[in-house]
Amino acid sequence: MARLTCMHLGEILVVPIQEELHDTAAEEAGEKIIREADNSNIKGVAIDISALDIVDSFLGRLLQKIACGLRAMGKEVILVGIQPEVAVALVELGLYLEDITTAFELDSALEKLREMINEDSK
Amino acid sequence: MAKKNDKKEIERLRRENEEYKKLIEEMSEGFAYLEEDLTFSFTNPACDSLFGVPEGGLMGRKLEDFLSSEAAKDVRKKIRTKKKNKKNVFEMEIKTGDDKRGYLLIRSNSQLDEKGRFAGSFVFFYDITKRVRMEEELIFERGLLDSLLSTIPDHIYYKDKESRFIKVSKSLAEWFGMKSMDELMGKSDFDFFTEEHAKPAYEDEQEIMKTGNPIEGKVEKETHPDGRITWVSTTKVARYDKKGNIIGILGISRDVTEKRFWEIEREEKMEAQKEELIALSTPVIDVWEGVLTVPILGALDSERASRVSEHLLTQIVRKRAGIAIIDISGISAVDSAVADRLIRTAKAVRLVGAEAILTGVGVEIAQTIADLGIDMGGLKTMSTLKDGLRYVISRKKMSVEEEKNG
Repeated sequence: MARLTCMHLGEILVVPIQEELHDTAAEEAGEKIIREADNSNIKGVAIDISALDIVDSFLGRLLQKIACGLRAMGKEVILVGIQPEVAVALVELGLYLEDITTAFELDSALEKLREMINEDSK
Repeated sequence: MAKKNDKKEIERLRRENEEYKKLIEEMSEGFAYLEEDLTFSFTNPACDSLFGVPEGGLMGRKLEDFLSSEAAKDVRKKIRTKKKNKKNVFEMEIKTGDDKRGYLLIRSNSQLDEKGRFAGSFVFFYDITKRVRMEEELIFERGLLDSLLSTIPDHIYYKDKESRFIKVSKSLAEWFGMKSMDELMGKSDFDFFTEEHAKPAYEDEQEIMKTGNPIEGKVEKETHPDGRITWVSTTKVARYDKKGNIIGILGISRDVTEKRFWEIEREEKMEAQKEELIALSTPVIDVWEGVLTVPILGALDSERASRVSEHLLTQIVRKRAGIAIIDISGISAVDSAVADRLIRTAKAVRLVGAEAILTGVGVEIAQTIADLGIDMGGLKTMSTLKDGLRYVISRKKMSVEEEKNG
């Protein structure tokens, strides 16, 4: 199983996905993210997929599901580093992920996420 | 009593004689008696017709009259043999009385006089013209085939049902680095190519033998064990036996390696030019810090649209542009496929982390979009590029002021 490392940066959980995940490995990774985020200190999650060149419909839908689940837990979610090819592929699959915020890179993602968290706490 | 018996005996002999004569006359084989100097002194009708003369026309003529001078010498020697009761059978070519060429098989039975000298011969003639002609034809055709196989530079090959070579052209043997055509017998493509080529070729051949449908002018990539790559244009057909059963493959391949490499080079060049053209026709302009503008001009077919969208997305990610303005005021017409493509592009832009604004949506295009019931999916649109820029600038100002205040 692919090792999934989650990093805690203050109230933000950073999850870099380093390699292509298939089926069970992907689902396990999804569960792990949700479990890690199930902590009242965590306010937002940044999922970094900049290392992925390919995202199939399964992983695309799984990302949507994870985001949805995290949102339900009251966490903000941001998808980081979707590659152009991946973006085109997702759109072709009809996975617009319209309710998920996106960012080019981790820096701007963290910034955006903090803004979103601040908005919430206002 | 004795007289009566004699009479009976004479009658019997006469009848027997008649029967033999009738038998000889009605025989389909030619029969003749040749004198010591090979003059015909008895012939049956079949013999006359073999030599192309009217009935009885051979009487008094010599066999040599129907032979060429060289053949005459040879034939005379063969017939005038003193060996009795020995099978004396040979073939000869004759020129018949009606000036045709024919071939006869001769069976000669020498008759010797009491001193053991050649006295004449009973000879049977059989017409073998048809057989000889067929043989000649076969030899001729064989020659045609051989010259084809040994001179034509195209690779010609006959294969059996298991796709093993049974006959190949010299050019193919040389192509495989063999000295003679025979060295290839029983071998197959698997002995000369890597699996990458041998397997699909084998499958093609089995398919042809299953269906009888030929392959014509198929360009195949041949991969050799030493890493060499060659290209051939191949035509393969099924071979049939007399009963119409498929018994193998006949193929002809032409080396088109040079042409193919030239084509590949040209394709690559064209591809590069296409890329260039796309980049040229779709300039991505840095109008502001983190703001890109893409004016799309001309007709946008779906191939170009997808290239434009790739190009744009790559530029956005490379330049870390937060906002991309896609200006479509220069587009001549928008149909549903193009509108769909544009909206997908805008959505992909959002996925990579930027915001997309569609500007230049004129009345016509707006109507098309409305008519087609396309879901704009929260995409920001502005009627002119000016409006788009104004919107972006005001937002930038805001954030700058926010920063100052913050």
